[in-house]
Amino acid sequence: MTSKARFAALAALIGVIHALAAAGVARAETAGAFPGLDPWPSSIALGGIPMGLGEGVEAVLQNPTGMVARTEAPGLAFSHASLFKGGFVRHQAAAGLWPRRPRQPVWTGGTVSHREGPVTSAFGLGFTNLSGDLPGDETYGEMTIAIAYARHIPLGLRSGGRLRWLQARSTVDGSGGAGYALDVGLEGTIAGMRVGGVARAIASEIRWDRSSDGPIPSAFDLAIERPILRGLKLYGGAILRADWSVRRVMAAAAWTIPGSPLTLLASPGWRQNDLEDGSDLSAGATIQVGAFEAAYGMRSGPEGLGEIHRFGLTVAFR
Amino acid sequence: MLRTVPPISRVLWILIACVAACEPAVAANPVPIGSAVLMPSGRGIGSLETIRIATRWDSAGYRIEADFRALDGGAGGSPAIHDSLNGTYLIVYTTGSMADSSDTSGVVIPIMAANPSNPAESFTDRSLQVCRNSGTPIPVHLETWIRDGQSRFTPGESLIVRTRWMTEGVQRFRPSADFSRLVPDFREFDLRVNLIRDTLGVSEHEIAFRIPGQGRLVEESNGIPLAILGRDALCSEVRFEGLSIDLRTSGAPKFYRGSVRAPSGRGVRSFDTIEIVTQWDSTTVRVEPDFALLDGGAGGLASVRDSTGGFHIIRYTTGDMAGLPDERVVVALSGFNALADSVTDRSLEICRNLATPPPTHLGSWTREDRKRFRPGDSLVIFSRWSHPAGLPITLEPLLSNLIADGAGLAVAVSQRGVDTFLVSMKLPAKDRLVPDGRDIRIGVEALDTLCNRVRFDSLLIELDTTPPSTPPTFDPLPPETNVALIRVSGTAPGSSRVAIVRENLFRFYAPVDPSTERFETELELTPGRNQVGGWGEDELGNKTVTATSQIVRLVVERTTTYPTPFRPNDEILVGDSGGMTKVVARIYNLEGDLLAEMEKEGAFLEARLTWDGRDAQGDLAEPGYYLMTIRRASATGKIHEEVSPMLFRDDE
Repeated sequence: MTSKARFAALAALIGVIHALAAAGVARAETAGAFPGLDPWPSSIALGGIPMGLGEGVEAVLQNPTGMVARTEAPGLAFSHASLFKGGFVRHQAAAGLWPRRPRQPVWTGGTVSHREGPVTSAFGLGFTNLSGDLPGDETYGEMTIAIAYARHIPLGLRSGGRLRWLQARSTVDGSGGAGYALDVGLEGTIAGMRVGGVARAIASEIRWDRSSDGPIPSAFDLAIERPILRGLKLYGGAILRADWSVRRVMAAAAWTIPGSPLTLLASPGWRQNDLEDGSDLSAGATIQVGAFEAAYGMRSGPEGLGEIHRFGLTVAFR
Repeated sequence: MLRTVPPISRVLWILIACVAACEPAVAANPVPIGSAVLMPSGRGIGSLETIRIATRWDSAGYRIEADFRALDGGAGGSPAIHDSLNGTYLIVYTTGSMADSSDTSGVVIPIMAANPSNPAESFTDRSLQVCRNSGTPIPVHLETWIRDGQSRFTPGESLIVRTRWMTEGVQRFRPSADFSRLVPDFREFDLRVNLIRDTLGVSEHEIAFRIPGQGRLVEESNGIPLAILGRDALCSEVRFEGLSIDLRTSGAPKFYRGSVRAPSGRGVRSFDTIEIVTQWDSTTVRVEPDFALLDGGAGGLASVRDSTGGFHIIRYTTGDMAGLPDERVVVALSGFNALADSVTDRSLEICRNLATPPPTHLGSWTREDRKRFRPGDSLVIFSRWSHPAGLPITLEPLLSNLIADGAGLAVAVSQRGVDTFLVSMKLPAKDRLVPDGRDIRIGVEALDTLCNRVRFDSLLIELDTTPPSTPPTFDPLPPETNVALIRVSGTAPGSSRVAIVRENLFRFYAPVDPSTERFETELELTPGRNQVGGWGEDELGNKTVTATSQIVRLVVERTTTYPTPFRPNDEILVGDSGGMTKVVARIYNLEGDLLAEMEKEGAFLEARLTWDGRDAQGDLAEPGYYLMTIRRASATGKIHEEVSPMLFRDDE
């Protein structure tokens, strides 16, 4: 299949996915409960682009298709973040990935042996916890448990889906809400570029104790990745609202210093809003030691709101 | 001072002064009053131990530093200093490991005080000595009893106590006693301590004490507690208090006190005429002195003359005492009343001193580089002495020419080196000083244990109690302000400087411009009431009266009040006691999207902002957790921003 045909197929599928997301328009298009937070330091540092084009264990909570992209071994990931000024909000994330690698016959020097082949599909389990302080020693918390699945599909594409179980609770009067959200992702490689997208909350419903029930806002993360030089990758991405308006546009670069376990990440981003347009800057770094990778990422927020800082650790069981 | 010694010696005096007084003589330096180790009490200092030292200076607000390098090499880090605001500072220090250092006494802990506003005004006090003891045994009390089993005593009787201690490994064990519950002005000097035996690490001593006359004793009572002390060379002091006696004073004549009036300033020699003044409870008492221990009774009693008020004056001419050692001996004084009841007092001691020379004065000088002093000034005298016979010396200041009423005057005397004494005091108010004058003679008097007394009163100072130059005039301060830093300014004579204080805690000097005679400085205020004062000082440090005024710093109180949970059309109440010209409230979700913005402009202390619960598109916001930024602009253009969390619900 040619790149043009693959591009046409990918564009058509992305359009269908986004149309499905748009069908589930919530009453507001800005998130309240269960915001789409970047769950990993590298995602923060790359401006949020990996939400549409993740890879490895971190993809469990990003575009799930990344679970079968450049993935070879099971892995675990943990992260902790402090959101904005005042230290009111903390966010933790954890994820585990189990890729499936069917054994394949291999012809070597005149003999046939069976070895593990490339990853064809993967299961993932994710968990996030958000806790926020409220006046008068009250607190608010949100918890998400996600199960994700991704696999290779025809046309050289990869698809994935994720079902999230959501629960929110505050100590103000013990009230809260619970529900679910379904995310669908798709990605492929076209003209040497990875192109992917995920429709978040393509279907969702939250039942509240003290507020009116309804879905959470849908969003569509679109991203491309292009290797430029040895160790250097450029990224571009956008977040679209369900009404096709652009919420955020990002560009990013990741540079793995040759011969070094260190990767530097940086990204400028531009926000669009009916009330306020603005830009922000993200940066971070990862360092890999054996099977472990430690990461830090930060992003400046709107003026007066402060920054997001996130630390993380990833383990790959190779 | 140098005018009083021969010119040839002046260079020597200067050299001695430079060696003994290491610090340059600078006016208005901090003056040490004294330092003591509060904890550990009664023993030396060991490794990894927290010690507390109280150090007293002439003023609060100094920057205090203590150098513990001589103790543990500085392994314990920096000490914590607490200012109790009355001139006493508490130093808390945890020692490091001293395993490599030998246990010893006389470890000098230099304590430096400096004026925080002028570090050049500093002084290092090296009078505090401590002991290092990380493993040397301390004395252990075994047994103490009164010899002969006697439990009831009368004035003049000998109280003899035997005490036994385990002293194996102890450095230079010395027993002593504290009988202050029996004799309020008890001095250890009056004890006689003799070693009875010292075998197998157990030493037994006998402590003898002559119970003085009734004038120095407590009231007659039973069970008066006595304390026996065991000390070593490493500052250990173990106290045993399980001993008591009964005191009986009635019946016999009561002896109050006795003192040697002549010879004055020295001990008694052969063929000297001694004059002793004693006081009894009645003039009818017949007094019989016994000088047998002084000269074997070889002299002749000239007279015992009754006087009014129970005083009896004894005159005695000593015989030939050649061959007898120089020492302090007891003169027994027996009193008889008409009923033949008697009491013998052996508390009076007299010095037999045939050949022991007196202390030698090497030099005395004032620390300050000026001769003119004013009320409130610090006066520090360094005095250097030696004793040809190596006897201990006690120093007393001679200030009667300077201070009309010496009662209650705090004079600290500390020994800085082997023979150098430091006498420090703060001159009292004008009404307690002699009239102004030049060449006021002050000095010190040294006394050794054989009654040799040597005066040096050739230090000449001037006293000036007249007000100095015109006091400063402060520009009016506002009664209230909401800023933390105010500008204090005013007028003062160009030759002076102005000291500024706030609540007597923070002092610094503002220089005066000689051409404009203006001074100006900034003063930091604490929230609430601030007492601001200041005085002028001339080049000698002489002060004018202090002018004070009050200024209240209004603490700007910022409040942001809103309901939790927040519902559509609820109000956000923003307050700022400092006043606002504009308030902007913004609602963000956790993705950083701005949902709503409310603002109010004008001039107000409080603003009410209402959020209808809708986002930028006019849609009702999702229930959940949001952050609100409040941006306040004050009239001066100062911006204050804060972030507050918000829980939003739509169940209106």
